[in-house]
Amino acid sequence: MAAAPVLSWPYLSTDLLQFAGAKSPRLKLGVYSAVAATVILRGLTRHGAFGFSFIPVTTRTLEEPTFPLPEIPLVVMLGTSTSPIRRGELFAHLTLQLEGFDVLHLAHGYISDSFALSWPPGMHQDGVEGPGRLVLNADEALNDSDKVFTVPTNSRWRFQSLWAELTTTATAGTREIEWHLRDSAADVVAGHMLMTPPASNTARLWGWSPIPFRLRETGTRDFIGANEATGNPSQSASFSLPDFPLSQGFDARLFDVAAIDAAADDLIIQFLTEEWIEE
Amino acid sequence: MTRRWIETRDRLGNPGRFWYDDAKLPGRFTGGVRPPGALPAELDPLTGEFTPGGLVAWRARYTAWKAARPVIASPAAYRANLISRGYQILSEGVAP
Repeated sequence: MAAAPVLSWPYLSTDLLQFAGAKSPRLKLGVYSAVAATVILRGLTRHGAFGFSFIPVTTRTLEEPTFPLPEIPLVVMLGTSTSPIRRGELFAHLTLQLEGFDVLHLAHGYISDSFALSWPPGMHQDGVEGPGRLVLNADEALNDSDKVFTVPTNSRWRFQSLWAELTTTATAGTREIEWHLRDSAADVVAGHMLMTPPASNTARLWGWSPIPFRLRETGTRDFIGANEATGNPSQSASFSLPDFPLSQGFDARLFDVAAIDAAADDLIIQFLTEEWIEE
Repeated sequence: MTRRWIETRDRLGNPGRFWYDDAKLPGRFTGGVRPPGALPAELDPLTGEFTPGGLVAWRARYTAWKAARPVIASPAAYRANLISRGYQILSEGVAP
């Protein structure tokens, strides 16, 4: 008589594993979440289906709940019942435990509302492989010309674009605008000093992107570097953006080094980052 | 000084993160609205620079725009501001 088809690995059966611990396996879930989500763990054993759910914290902090099974599973699926969940927001590991020990790493990778991890065969992908999620970061506060944006814990960033609008008060003085990329000890690892420092009573726009773009194109004022607010050439500009990955704790700071009127000048920033969960 | 953020999704589910500095509250927020730009009559047509009178006029319009921006006194007020603009609040975070 031919052997019955086996969905799971053939040696992972309660019949073959002749020790007590094999009859009380557990599934260990390791999960990092950037958003509110319900993680669903479902599967089959030889004698029925099982299902668990888990709601992780949203701080990208590793959590590792375990779930008891009546016997070794034939198939396991790890997904989410929350929508929308996009790639880059929810990262998980799935491990089989016997006698309290990890014995088989079944799968790890991103979960989304349209993609679940399944075993077998299991998928293994690092959190910083492939595309991340696009996040629009904004600081809309006026009366502040010193803005710092820090890469969250267990995250990695790559800047896609940066947009800044500065309007200075009537307080006299030359604003020295710079942006810095800094490591977790606040050492500058890259930076950019704007070569046309703004004075008082003016408005400037700056854009950074992988390829510089025109801020204004109107008739004779057809050049890179026109000021949308004042129409004044060469005061605002678009620049290329270095392609640096930033690890957790690194930050980007855009500020007036001279701090001429730091609590009254208006600096508004919007930037796009591609963001991954980094273990 | 602590940098904080509010995680959001927009009406289409796109992720966003609105940063603020709790040591600088209460503060005014733009609410995504662009400040007023210069009018052609306020600029010297040859140089593109403000005329003296144009600068005064533009500054007055900018000051009025800024005064009309909502004053955000607390994270709760900022969350309410974002919700009124159509954002869904997901969570809040603190810079590491």
